[in-house]
Amino acid sequence: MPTIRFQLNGAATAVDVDPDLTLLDVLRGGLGLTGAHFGCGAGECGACYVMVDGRATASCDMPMWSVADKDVVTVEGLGTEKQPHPLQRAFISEQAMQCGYCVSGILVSAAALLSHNPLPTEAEVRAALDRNLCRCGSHNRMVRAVLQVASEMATS
Amino acid sequence: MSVPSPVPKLPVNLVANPKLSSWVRFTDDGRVAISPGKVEIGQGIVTALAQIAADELDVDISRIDMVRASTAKSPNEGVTSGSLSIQQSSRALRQVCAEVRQSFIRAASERLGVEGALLDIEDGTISGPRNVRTSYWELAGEVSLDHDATGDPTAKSAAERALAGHSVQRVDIPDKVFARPRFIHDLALLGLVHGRVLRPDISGAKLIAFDETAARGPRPRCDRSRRRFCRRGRRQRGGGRSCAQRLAQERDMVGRRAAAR
Repeated sequence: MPTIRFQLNGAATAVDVDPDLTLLDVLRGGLGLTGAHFGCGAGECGACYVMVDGRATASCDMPMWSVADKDVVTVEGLGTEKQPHPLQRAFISEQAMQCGYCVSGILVSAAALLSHNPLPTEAEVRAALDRNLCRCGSHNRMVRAVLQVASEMATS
Repeated sequence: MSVPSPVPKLPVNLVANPKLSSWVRFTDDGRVAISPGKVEIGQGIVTALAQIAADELDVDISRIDMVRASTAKSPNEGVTSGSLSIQQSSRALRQVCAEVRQSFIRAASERLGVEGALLDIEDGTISGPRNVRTSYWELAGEVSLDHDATGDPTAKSAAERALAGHSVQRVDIPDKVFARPRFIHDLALLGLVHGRVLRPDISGAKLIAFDETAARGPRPRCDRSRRRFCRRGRRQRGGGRSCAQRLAQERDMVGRRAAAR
């Protein structure tokens, strides 16, 4: 099996896998990163989003061969409890979820948005999160959390 | 004349799971393990139950560890559904905690030589006049909770509760935000096998052959080249045909097959 090399959460990573496996299967399987979730398997729901070269991307239908030499950041790479990403802190303070199955993908979408647009309007936040489904209906709290982070970053 | 049915002494779920120790344990690290038989699926019940237990035991809510429900070890509270978790589980848990509190007050009274009514509990520390004090954890070795609930002590009145009825931060959210395993899908049990549903391309298709090797290979990906986008930018499957067109075509194929038979 070929070796596929890529950056994963800032670390050089090499995996020997079937190049037709999806990135999500490799993350959750061999690499043990269960933050990105399997939702629809067809890139339609956003539960599996990871950042690939800075863009929120569905990992459930992304073949491993296309990951070679890319920079992948999963929700695990955003922050930890000791050093949380501002979005993670805001999602806790806004209590922005119910079941939380979609949250990893939404954090990734929001982080990608803020990295290229640090002060988005509410409409821009809604547009950026539009591809992430949340069946619990927690979107409004999530939008508030993202806007809160944006305004904090603008004043700091 | 109808006779009012007697009020049951114990909540239903406590009758089914009467042993106090199956609900509450004081652990060596100065914490309280609360074990309900209901499952957190995002409704926030585990937080609500922690509030109720903290109120009744007089411990800080941050000292409480909510044990995830397990078929083997938790009280059997049946299914988690129907908006019944707080109604059923909390009544049982509240009564359990009231009884546990009373048992410890009794033990503390003996050890400290102070009448139980003069003792107070704050964040698990039991204290009385002239600065006498002990705690749940100091007494845990001598107070057995391996007995059934009696229904005797009465739980606190609503006015005496500090946490129930007020919003607190949900206990399950940090795990979800920091991507710590929280979901059934994150479990890898010993000997775990995976199943896969293989679906035909059209409805009404009949299985004539099965290639197991292909089924065991990588999960088939959605074919991006067939994707089209609708006006709102949402992806559509099936080469841009509308649902109605696709259904009509499928129906047509099924019809043709039926005619051929």
